[in-house]
Amino acid sequence: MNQEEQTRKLIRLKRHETPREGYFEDFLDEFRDRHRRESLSQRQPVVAGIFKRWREGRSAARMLGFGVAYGAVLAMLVWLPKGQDDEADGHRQPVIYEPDSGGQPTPGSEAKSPRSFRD
Amino acid sequence: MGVTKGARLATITECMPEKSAEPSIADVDAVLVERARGGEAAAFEDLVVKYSPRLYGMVYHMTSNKEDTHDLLQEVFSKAYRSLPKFKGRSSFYTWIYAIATNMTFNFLKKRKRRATWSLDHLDSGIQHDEAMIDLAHASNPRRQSDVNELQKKLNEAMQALSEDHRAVVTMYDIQGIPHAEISRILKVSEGTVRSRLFYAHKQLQGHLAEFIGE
Repeated sequence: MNQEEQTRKLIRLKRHETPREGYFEDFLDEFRDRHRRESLSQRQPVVAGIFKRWREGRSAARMLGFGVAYGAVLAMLVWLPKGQDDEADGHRQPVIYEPDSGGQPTPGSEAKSPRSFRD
Repeated sequence: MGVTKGARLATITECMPEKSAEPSIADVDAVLVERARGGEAAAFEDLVVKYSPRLYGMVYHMTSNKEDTHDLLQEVFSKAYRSLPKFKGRSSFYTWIYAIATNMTFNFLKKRKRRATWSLDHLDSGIQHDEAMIDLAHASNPRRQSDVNELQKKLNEAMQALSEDHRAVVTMYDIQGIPHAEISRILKVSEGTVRSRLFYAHKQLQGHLAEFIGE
């Protein structure tokens, strides 16, 4: 027997390395349990299922793109400049109606508070 | 199902080939695959019973670790079940699931290599009392009367010293007795590549096992 044959004969000894008796029956039981659990976890609410399928169909880069776009839209809604009429003007004072002066606002009356009108 | 697990195992393993899948076996598998695709879980379980011993051998000899083998094999069958709709039947189920197991094992070994905590100390030594091993350990080197533990350790170390590609062909050809042509289909390489890898793997193994090999 040459050296290569001897080497192969030694390596073939590893055929005798087998798991304990009953291992494969336990293996099948575990596989069955695992399969049952996986089947149950797949039965989720319809909306969650749709979202999951949508998410699975998209790459990480596209998901990131969607996230950035969503954030940008939110930011625009928050920071969008409001119309000119709505802008706060610190110099403007409220106009107060003075019945004594014929219903016209008088100079200086703008500074009066609504309370003085009621008095 | 009505049939005990032991009886199922016996019935299925009786028709298992020693070397490779015969056409009739492939036909039986095709029927089981079709039934499993139709949602019959028991049909896929028959395939698990039929192929788990052979796939266990392949994964175990690649990883040399029982726990890793167990976890990986569960993953292999789960993945195969999920991928059944993609199985076109161009190859036999046997070749297909063997290819899944081999690829998953390669990926696992790459990850394990990156783990700093893993070392050769994690290799199993589970056949210390096997009679065939004891006989050969003594016969191969009667002067030294090497003990079986040492041979076991050396065999595992020699196997782990091989590259994954070389270890795979040694496992399939030398340990599991799969023919070159079948190995080439599983690994998707030419038969020439399989033979070449075997040649270099044997040379390397000779070096590692020199003390157990006579003149």
